[in-house]
Amino acid sequence: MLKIKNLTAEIDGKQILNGLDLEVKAGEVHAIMGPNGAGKSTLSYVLSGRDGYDVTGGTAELDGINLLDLNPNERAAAGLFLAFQYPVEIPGVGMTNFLKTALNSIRKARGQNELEALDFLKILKSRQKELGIADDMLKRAVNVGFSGGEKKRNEVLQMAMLEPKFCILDETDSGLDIDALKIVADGVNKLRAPDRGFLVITHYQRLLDYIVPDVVHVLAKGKIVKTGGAELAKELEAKGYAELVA
Amino acid sequence: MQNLLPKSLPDLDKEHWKYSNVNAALKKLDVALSQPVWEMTGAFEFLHPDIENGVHLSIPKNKQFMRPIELKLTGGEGQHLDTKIVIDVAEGASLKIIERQTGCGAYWKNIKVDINLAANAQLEYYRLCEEDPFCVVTEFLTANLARDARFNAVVVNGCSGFGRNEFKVHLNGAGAYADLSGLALLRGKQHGDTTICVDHIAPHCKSSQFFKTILQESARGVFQGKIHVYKDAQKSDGYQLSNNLLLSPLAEMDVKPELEIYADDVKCSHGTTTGELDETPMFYLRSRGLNEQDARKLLIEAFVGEVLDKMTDETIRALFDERVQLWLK
Repeated sequence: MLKIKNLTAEIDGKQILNGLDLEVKAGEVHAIMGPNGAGKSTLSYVLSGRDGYDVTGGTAELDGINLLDLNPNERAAAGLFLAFQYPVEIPGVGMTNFLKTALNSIRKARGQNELEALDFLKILKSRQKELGIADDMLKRAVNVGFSGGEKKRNEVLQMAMLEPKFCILDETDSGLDIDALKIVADGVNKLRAPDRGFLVITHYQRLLDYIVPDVVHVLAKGKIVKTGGAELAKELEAKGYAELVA
Repeated sequence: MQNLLPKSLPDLDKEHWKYSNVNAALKKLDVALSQPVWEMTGAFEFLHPDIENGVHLSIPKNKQFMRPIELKLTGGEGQHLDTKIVIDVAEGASLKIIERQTGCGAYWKNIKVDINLAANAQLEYYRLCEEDPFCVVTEFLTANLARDARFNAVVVNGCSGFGRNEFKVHLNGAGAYADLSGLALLRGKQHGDTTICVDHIAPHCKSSQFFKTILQESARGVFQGKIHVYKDAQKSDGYQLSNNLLLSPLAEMDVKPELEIYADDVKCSHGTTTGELDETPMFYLRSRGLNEQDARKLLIEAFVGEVLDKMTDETIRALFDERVQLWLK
């Protein structure tokens, strides 16, 4: 599914990713843990195509398509989804209009017909119900006035609506209390599927109690320095990153 | 017709005309004084005949209008239209006015609007300017608000060649409330200037100024907004925000926010932003599948939508929205 080979990238001439290799198979959940400054967020932005992150070498393929050749919306159409660490507030853009425009843009790019308002609302209602999202949230502007928990639940709602092949969760646990974390993790777990892969990026082990990964990687100084099972996360929580980073 | 007036505005106070050289703009025109013809829908029985070249509406006590009254003035080639609107709203009365400005050719409209709201009177005032890109428009609005009067104004300016829109609001009675918002859409070599002064004269008054500009090509925009709180105007609440979107490297925006406060127990704030579309929401939308063009369109619609949302009347909002969408295309 996702194959990253020898990926190097820099910001403003400063090298952040130093030859990163990673493979996630369909149906798997991989976690990437690492200390601050290891390149975790850079990895998520490089994969999703944000301006200002220059790829200097390597490949990142999703089902054989090199993502790095595509612009951000083409990557979304190819099935990539990034759940933001800090979801962006967009005053003046209503939630429902936003979700409909996004879904229809992706459907169009995939050669599917665009949904009429009624068909769209049917899908929205069912996803909304599954994730326990109140009507009120959908009447507001995108992320404006949302609590931390609502913002992250909104990311999961978008994920459920757009039905990506591969999801990157960038520090989804940041800014959440334990109750909000459980709700968000529960939403993500409902989306786990044999044909869908996940990359869960986090600083803390806590999130991985609720989204249990198949594989855990440690990212330090721009490359994967250790790989193990779910137990590796617990070990890191106990010992810290110092040993691995040194 | 003989040109009766000098082609300039006399006695301009230099400080507030620093960014807009109206006399230079007028020199380029060849206009002669012409008779302004206002088209009006409804409320004829409340017309006052005392103004020769304009409209005087006098709304009696407690009269409530459901339908908006539309006033329209069309400019034509070579015309200099010097005109006036006077709206007196007596105690407890309320109405909605739509002022529409259109025209074709090089002309000069010089418009004075005098609004007098008695105690507890309400006026919703909507102005839609779709002028010729070669005309000059100078419009001076003065509003006097008595106790608990409410004045809501939304101005959409999609614009003249050279435009100066001035608002002077006097909050004379306690509890008066003025809410002013506007959108200027400028392109080509258009020059659009919005200059506002809200005087908090009585205590416990509230005012808001919310103005946005979108500039394309080599357009130039000016926003000067002032909140002036008098010594006795305690518990004043004044707000001002100016957001401006530059869609071309050649466009220019000059913003001058001013607070002049002489009372000591007041709440006043102002803010301003000028720049291109933000990269962050752009990336967010694109990561959700919107192509660059659609993402830009959505963000620009959202930018103007915040001003249009100030319109409480659905029908009027739909009319303005339609005109704005045409401009954005």
